[in-house]
Amino acid sequence: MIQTIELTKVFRTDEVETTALNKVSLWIKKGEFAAIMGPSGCGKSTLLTLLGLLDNPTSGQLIFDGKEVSKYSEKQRTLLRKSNIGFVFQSFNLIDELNVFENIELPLLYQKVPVANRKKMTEEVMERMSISHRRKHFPQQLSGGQQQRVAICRAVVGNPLLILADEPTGNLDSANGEDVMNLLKQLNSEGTSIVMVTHSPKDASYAGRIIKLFDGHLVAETE
Amino acid sequence: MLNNYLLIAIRNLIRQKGYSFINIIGLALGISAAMFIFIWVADEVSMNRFHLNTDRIYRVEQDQDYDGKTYHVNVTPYPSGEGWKKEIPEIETTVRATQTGALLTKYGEKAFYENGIACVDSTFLQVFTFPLLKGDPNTALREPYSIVLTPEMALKYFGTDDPIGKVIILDNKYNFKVTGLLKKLPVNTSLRFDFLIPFDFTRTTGAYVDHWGSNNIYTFAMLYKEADPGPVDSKLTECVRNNIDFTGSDRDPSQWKTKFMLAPLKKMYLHEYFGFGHPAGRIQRVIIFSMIGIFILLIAAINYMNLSTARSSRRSREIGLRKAFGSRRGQLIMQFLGESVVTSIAAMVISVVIIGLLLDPFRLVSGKQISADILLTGNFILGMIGMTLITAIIAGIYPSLYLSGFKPMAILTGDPGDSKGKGWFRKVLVVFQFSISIFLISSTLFIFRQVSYMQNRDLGYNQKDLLYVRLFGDLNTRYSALKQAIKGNPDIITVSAGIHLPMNIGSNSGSISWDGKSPDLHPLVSVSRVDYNYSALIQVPIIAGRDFSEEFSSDMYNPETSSGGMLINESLAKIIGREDIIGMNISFSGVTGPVVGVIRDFHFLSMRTEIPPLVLFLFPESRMRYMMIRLRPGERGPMIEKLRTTWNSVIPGYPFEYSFIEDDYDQVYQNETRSGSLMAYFTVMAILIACLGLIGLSSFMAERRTREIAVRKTFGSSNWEIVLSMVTQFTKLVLTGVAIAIPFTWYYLHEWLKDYAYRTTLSWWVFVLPALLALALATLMVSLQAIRASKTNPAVSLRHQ
Repeated sequence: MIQTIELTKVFRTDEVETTALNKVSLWIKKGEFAAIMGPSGCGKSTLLTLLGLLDNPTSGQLIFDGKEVSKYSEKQRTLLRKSNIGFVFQSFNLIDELNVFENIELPLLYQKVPVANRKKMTEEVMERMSISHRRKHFPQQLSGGQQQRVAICRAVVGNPLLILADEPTGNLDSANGEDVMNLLKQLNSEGTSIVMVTHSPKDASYAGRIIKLFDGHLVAETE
Repeated sequence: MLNNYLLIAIRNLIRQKGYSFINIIGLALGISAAMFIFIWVADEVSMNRFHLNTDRIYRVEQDQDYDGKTYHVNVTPYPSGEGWKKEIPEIETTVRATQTGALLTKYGEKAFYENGIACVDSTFLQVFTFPLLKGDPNTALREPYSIVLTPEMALKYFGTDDPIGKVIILDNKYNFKVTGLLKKLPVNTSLRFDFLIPFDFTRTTGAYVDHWGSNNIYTFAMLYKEADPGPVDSKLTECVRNNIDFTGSDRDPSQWKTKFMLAPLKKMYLHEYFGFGHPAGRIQRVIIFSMIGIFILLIAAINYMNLSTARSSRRSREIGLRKAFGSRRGQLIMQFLGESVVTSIAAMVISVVIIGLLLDPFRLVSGKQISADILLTGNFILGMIGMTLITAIIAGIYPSLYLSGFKPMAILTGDPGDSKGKGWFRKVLVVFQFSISIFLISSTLFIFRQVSYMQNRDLGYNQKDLLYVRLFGDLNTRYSALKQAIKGNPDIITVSAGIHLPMNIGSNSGSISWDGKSPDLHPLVSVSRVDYNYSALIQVPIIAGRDFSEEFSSDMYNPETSSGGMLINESLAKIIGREDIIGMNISFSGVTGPVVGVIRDFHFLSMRTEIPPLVLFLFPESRMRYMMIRLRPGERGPMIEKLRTTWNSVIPGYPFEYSFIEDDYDQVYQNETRSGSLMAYFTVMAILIACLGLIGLSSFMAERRTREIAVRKTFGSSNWEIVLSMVTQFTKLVLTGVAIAIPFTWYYLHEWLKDYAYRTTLSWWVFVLPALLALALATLMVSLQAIRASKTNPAVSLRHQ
């Protein structure tokens, strides 16, 4: 599904050079649920942005669905990303000016899905995630758990091959967090690959594999 | 997708009420100011373009040469029009036109002095597109004593009766039959008149001068459709050279360097100029105001740019998110442009209201006849839509490029990259706004200063308490009787008359000669004809010789011998340059006679020009056009009533219409005053918009610095120190703006002043005052926000972050 070979990311400012990710090689298989763990600043989020094709690595290879994409232009990455990858964020990142339905529908707009299909797909996913009754509400009117539920709907509405989740329960209380994890687990069991960054060993226990990072290096993998 | 963009745009507008208000009001003010300027410029530019033949109609103008200096003249000799038509094959026809001057106009009981009577060739109505409601344009002006009038005049004299065939009496003796009724003249014609009568009337009144060297009337030429205007100029000149009578002139025909030329009718209004040098004319004002319009729009657009980019960190999440979900950059650019379009449309709606409300004051200040109907014309609507879209694009393009350039990973890191140096561009824009504002304030102040300098400069004669009465038509035959009748009146210090008012002696001639004059010297000399006591009346001292006097009968112009005495001014005395100037003979303007006295120079033209050399002739009352009376200082009302009583007893039936010269003098600088006032209004708008921007930007900065302020306060900073730190941030920008504006403004004003022979100095306060004003306004606006920010409880803001 997705493979990295000696993936490296260096951030430069005028005076300082920071190696956020140092020669990381790993392979995420189709249908897998992987958790990336490690202390703050170890490179988890950087790895996630590279896996999500949001940025290009400084060196190393990134193979996505059989294609070497590390040198792709932003345009090419966008094309690949929009139909294959869904995102879930710690801070939900819903657009405040759009209501629940409109937020979930957003990826479909960029995929140019015709109106009728768009409506149907959005309705379906809302139904599945039990959020239909909130369709007209705006993010500020929802609880954190509900917001993350909407964010997950948005991540899966286009039926992506891969979901990248960045500390999806980080801003939630334990009951809501568990709820979200169960949702992800359910999606995974239906065949979606998931890569999740987390601090929480409890959340990580939902994953089939745990990848540990430290100071930009891959230090351990446990099945 | 479009729906989604619109939705976000509108919801954003509603949610961010403060910013939306600043953006919309700022843009609305900007669009309104630009639209006013657009209306004004469109009106100026459309002048005289409505004539069907406009592309082949020209006015004949000429460049005369005086000692190597070019003097541009827009009038021509009386006979040349017919000569040109006969001799130049490119010319289809010519039209001569001149004004009669005010004439008493009567129909039945109704009698008015009319100023707008034009004598024109019968071809006038065929060449120019002034359609008739009644009458035949081909024949209406063919018969002598036929008259064509505007609907306003028809209403004034005949009410709702059919005017055709009615007889109007001009100057108490000429019976004119109405042969045509014009349609209302369009507003954008610079040829304006109330009545048209045949050109030959100028022969009847004796105005006609059958001499090819005397320039008095307008001549228009209409060329054939296919004719090439190129070679016509030299043919015009040749024709005049062959017909001009050089006898009696000291000029050798081969030395005659005058050049005639065709000036296109459609450029006539904007590019018209007269006199020495080449003043830029109205086109310069059009360019300046167009620039001001663009500047104001830019200031408004900059507010939008600054507020949208400053708030980018609020949008970075959304942008990152959209990119993560597959939005291309182009789509985001369209989205943000869409937002500026929505904002601009909202601004447009408000600016229609603003324009509607300010139309009356605008009409007053600009002197344009613009009615509220203009808001419904296609041109206005198109202009409005165009202006709105241009505004939207100018305002929106930079923010959309900037915002859409955020890296999608910003969504994870929360850092849009804004902190790393992009803020400098906003600063550049604020500096630019203030540079323009200061330029506008300085220029406005300075134009008023120059006008006031010209109005208050010692004119060399005394305008105070100087009253005048126009001697319309044959009223001048009663001048002597009037003068006698008021002689004993103790209110009156002096009475005299002339064919010009002392503030505007517009006649001149190059035909001067005296014994020993160098053949290479050809000065252009102004000329006026006056009654006894003229210099005493206007209180210009005689510095050599004496005034005209009844004791010397030879002083008076004698038509039989073409001789008479002359008073000359200092400038002419200097040109002649002889010690024994009193009593020496001069030939000028067809008159030969001795110099009886030299008067001190006085400003008989606007301060734009240097005082030209001047000759005053003593002429009989029948040539006088203005009776002038100096009253003793004191309450005018009773003195004028006494005058009126005398007038009515001497000339019963003629209304006593008077004015004071100092009241009319302001008219001389009407152009400058008008430009200055218009500029003042637009400057106020520009400053208002720039201040709105500062409020927005500083309130945003305050918001962004909440955490910094909290930390500073935690560690002991006082509120005052926080306000100061914010205020200095902005005052630095304003001061930079000042520093940039001063050299540009100085250069511009320096160039502008060159058009004025008498000019004030560029004093420091013209720059310092606007700088202080801008600084004070900026400090005020920013302090308001800073004080609010400094009062927040640090514990609350730190917890919040």
